Amino acid sequence: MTNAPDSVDFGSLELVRLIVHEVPRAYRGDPGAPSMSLSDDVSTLDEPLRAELAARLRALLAATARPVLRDPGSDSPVPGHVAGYLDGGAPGTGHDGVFVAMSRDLAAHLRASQTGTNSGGLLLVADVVLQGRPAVLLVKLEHAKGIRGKRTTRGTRHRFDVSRISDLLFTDRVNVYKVCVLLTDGAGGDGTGGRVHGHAADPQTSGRRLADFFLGDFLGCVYQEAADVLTQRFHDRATVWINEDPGRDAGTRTRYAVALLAEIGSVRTVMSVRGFAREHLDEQDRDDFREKMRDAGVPGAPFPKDASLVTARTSVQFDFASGTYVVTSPAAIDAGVVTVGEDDADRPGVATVLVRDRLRQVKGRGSPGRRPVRGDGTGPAGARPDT
Amino acid sequence: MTGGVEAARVRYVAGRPRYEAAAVDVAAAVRLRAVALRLSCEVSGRAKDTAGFVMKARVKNYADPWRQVTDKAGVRVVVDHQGDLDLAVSTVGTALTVLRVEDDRDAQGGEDRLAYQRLHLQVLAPGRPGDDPDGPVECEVQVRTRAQDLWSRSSHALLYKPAVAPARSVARPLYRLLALVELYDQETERVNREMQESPQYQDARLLREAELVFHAHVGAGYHLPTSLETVPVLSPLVGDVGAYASRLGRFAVLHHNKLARAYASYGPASAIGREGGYPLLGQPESVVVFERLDTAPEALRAAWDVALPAELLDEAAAVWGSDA
Repeated sequence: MTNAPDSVDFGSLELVRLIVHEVPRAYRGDPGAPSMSLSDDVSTLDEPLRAELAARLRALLAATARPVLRDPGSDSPVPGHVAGYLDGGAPGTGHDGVFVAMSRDLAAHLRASQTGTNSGGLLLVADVVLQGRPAVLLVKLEHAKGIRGKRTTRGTRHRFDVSRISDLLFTDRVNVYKVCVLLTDGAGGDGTGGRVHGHAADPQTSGRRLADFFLGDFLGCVYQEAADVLTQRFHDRATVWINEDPGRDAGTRTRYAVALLAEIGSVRTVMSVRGFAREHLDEQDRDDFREKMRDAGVPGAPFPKDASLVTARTSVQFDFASGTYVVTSPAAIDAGVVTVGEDDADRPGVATVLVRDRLRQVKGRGSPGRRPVRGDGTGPAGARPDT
Repeated sequence: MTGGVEAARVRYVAGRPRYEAAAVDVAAAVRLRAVALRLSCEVSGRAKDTAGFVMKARVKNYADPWRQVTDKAGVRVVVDHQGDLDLAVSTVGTALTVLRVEDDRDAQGGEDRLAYQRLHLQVLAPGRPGDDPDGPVECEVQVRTRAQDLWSRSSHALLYKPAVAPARSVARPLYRLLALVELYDQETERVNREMQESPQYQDARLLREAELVFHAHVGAGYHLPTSLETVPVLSPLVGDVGAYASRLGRFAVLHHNKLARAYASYGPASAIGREGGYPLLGQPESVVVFERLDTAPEALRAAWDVALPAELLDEAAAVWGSDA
């Protein structure tokens, strides 16, 4: 069990400067592909805009980002570009030219690694400070559309001019942006970005291969922990949590256990601590659940579900102090065939599992017996010899 | 005897500056502790003037004036009502080394007479360079209510310090007033207790606690009607406000720099705040919101979304870096 890996405080993020490049969709090697539109200067940021962007970036990272590391098997130059910039003494207070040059290199690699199936869009590169340390933040954006209403006055007549706008950069839907913030562990490396790490979100919007493009092909990074490990940890820690509170009655524990199995077995492709808490847990239990999962190293941000390590667990088992155990399916609980409750006021903590069903058979259960062996070590007495 | 008083007077004149410093140090220690324990009180200190020192030694006919005049340095702690007297004693006791306590409140007998109920603590003043290790500097701390303080100021010179004993026509009315002092203190304590048990008072007190943190970072005023809508939503989330006040204080200390940045960038004096953006950051209850985002974001979200505009909480969460 790890300590909470994503304990970084995204609330500490400060935006120093940013630049945006346009990288249209293009098939690799297509000579007729639309050209990139690279910026030469950083964007102008007045204080209100800087504050607004910083808040949106904090919210985006807090809601979606997970720890990432450089993939040693990747030949992406991005980690090297970022490490060279951060370790070169220029971040934050350095000349804009160095930052601009680095950002153009990143945009060029984005273009070079694209296939025609990757959507075009904008690459936002920002010089930021995170927990007091310089970092580089990247967001892949697409223009969003909206409808705007603006009050106008002509003479004495007022009206709202309604217009369609198609060049929004950010809307309030934070869960669809591909974002990454990268840091290094300090100067003195080999310039290949070996010590680059950070946090990233690469939400799957159109299939796994397309989603892997941003994190893997472009950034040259991998998530610090694999999805199957995280899914198993989610399941195991949630199971412990369900049962560790002595004040939680048997009915509630059963409801939560069934919900957990349903979540693991559902067609959803993403696991979310917050989502599970809000959908399945009573209000008074949600914060404790989130805190215990965080302490156990289950990310707060959603992660892909990979139940390969937990698919064998499809039934609910009730273990009693007497050694009795009852195994049933979530469907039987949902159908009311099996009910669980603590309804003996004179015996608190004593649960009742009631099964209302046609009894098919009753049989003995135990370890298989051993046949007696003759004194000469041969088979049992009276046994026919092998032919 | 006169020689003893004279010797003590000479000694006191030479050493009075040290007792002035002792009164300042003891008062400062009590004030700091009172803030931490959320005790509302006024603290004042003084070194006894030389004439007062001599007159006390002579009126009391002290055999050893230097040792027996124990209030050479004196501090007075005045609380709002008698319900806070015990807290005041604890405040002094945890801030300083207490040598002895004189508490007349539970003295046996005397039900048939009126008398000023003394509550004094003799403490060691914080040490200063050059102090005699064998002669630590002491300070007398008097603890009283506002009503007791008013009576004491009005009557002390007439009853305890005149050269001639006061006539019955002077003394009796003054002591009669003590009955009013007792009635005032008891009623004030009762009213205060009822207020504290009232849900409306809980909301007002929560707002007050939030203000104490908020105004450390924001000098501007705020929109009270908004607070009157928001605080009742937050109040049930924090439990007992008295206990929560300590928690909020610790949060404010732990996240002082982060709060400072948040209010500087998004508060009412910021560029975006002056444009009307992030309005919740212009309200003191935003401090409670930040604390709840750290501690119990789900409970906060569940309570907020049914009663208040979700975007206000979304903005606060974005500023704080929370995924609530």
